[in-house]
Amino acid sequence: MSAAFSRSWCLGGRPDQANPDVGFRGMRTRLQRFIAQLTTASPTPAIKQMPFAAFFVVALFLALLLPTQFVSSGAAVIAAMVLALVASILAVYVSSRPVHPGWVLLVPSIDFVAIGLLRGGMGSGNSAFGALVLLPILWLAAERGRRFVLFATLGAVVAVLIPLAIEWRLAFDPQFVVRSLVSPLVFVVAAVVVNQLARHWQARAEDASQRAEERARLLREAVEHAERLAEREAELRALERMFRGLWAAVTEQSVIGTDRTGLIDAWSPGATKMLGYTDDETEGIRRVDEFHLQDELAARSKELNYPAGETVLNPGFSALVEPARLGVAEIREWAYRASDGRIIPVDLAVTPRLDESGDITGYLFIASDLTKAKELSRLKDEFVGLISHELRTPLSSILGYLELLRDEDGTELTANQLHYLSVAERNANRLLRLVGDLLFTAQVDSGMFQVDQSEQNLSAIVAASVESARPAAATAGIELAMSAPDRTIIRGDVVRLGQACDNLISNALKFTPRGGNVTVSVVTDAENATVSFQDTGMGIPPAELDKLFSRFFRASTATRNAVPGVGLGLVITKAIVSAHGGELGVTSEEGAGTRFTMSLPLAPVSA
Amino acid sequence: MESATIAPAVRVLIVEDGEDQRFLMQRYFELAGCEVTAVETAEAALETMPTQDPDLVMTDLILPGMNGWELAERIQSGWPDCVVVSSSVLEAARHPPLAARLMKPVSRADVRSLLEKLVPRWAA
Repeated sequence: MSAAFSRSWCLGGRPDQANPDVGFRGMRTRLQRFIAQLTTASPTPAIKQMPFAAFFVVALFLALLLPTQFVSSGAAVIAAMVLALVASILAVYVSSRPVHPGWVLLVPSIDFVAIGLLRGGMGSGNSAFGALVLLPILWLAAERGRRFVLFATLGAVVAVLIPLAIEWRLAFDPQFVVRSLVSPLVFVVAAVVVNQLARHWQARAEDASQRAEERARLLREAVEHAERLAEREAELRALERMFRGLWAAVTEQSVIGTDRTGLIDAWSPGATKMLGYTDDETEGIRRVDEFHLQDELAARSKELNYPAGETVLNPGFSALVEPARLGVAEIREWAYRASDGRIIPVDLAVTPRLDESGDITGYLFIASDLTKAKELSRLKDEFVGLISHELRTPLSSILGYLELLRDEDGTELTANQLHYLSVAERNANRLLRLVGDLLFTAQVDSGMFQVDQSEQNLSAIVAASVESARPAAATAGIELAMSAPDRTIIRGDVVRLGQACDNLISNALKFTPRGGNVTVSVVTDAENATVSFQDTGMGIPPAELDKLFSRFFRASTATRNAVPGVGLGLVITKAIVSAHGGELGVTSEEGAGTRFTMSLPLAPVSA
Repeated sequence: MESATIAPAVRVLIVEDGEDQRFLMQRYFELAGCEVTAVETAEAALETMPTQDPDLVMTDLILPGMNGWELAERIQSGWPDCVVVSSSVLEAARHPPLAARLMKPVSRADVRSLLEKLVPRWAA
């Protein structure tokens, strides 16, 4: 019994009910384990030594029971037994501790000598135990490396020749000699075969082990990959959730996405709220231009000169997206038609949707409902109109009675009284003008004012405005000059155009310091007449130029220099110019001067 | 300026619900040598039309009860020889189509030019 076996027995001997190593069942388990160990691919040296030790025990019995028949040299036998014991103890020792492989191979080496001695001692060369030599031969031959065949051969030779050392006369025994030659040869062959087999099986084992490692590695990689995929998926889901949340949250704007031809592929909850259709009624089914007013689309298409875009068959849609297609995100007012027929004015932003390579794959339409804003604006205009009318009534009385005071026949007023009267009149008139301007801007916003379209001489109108401004220019110490052709015929309203010129000249004078110049010039080209008002005044900062024409806006240079005014003049002027089909432009340099240009279309020359 | 005319004075009817304005217009026409009747409502105006038979009617447009538009129509259909003009805080474009449409404030000069253009009988 090996020490390893007895150790496992001892270890298992704990009085524990759950322990399977206890009792009869425990014994059976241990026996099963033991047998499994014997048949394993890599048995311990102790296991390998066991059959050898077993046979030696048998030999010992024979030697003790029938010494006369079996023992030819007691000393040799004892020596053999001792060596066998040493080898076995060594085998157990190296099995329980990690040692240099050299020590392990000492065991079969000692075994060879022990066999030799046993042969010599039991049967003098004719020993039945000679075949035992195969055990250490196989042990050595199974080791890795061809040199072990040599060692095995040497060992066999030693085992064969040792009996000669005990009984030198065996050398003359022909049977001994033959046996001594043949056996080793057979054993060598056996050794070689075993070694070869061993190599083969080792190679296969290595191969298998390599494959197993490879498989393990691939499996690990696959697992890692799967984990990473799971992570990405989780991220993607989180992003999708976030997007869906965002999409659903925008309920106050309508967000519609389409492909390049206008077919709707995304319809937000906001679009449903505004227009009444659900996404399954529109996505993939309807086109975005179906919700617009056809005449609006047609008018815009004409304005843009009928862009072809992606869909020649659908000029309306092409007009809708033309600026976006050219890469300019556009915001314009349009009207949507809802499912119940309501017309909804909207502020629409059209942007292109691009793929990774920057090509347009579709368009995005974001619309804000302007109904409330427009309603508010309308109410405001109504209110402004109402107020200006209400203000006129008392103003009329004030001016009227002031006039009576002045003209009342029969009473002469003193110079002072006349002076006071004129001051009161002047201020009342100023108030009246303001009320008029306010009302005018409200009319402009609601589109309710008309202009006369009769033929007029623009040069004459400009000249009249310049002349009426001369006294003010003289008082302010500003030089006022004009250059214009004799006749410039346009179609328009003489009063309104005069008002526009008055306004622009008055502005120029207001914003120019003493000693400066204001020059008014009229030039014509093939289609338009352009009136320029150039001053050498304080100028307007570039950032404020596009706000210039909005109601009640005053340039920072104006407020900084305490120039009087309310900020309505340019609104009115622009409205007048626009109503005449013209354009009002401005350029300016702070500290140097400002130039306003008013261009109006020339009247077509009648043949 | 006083007017010394041989012909009977031009008769004017003023329809205006604002007291101050009504008196003002009356004074202007009187100073121009006219005989003036002033009433507050369109209904009152229609009542006095037969008795007064004015040469010129100046009416406000926003009146309590019947408004100026309707009054103008009625006077024009009932008294075609009568000249009807409007005076109102509303812009002239919103007045009915009349011989003259004046936006307040109406000045004394406006009144005189009105009489000059529309009532041939009147002499300055």
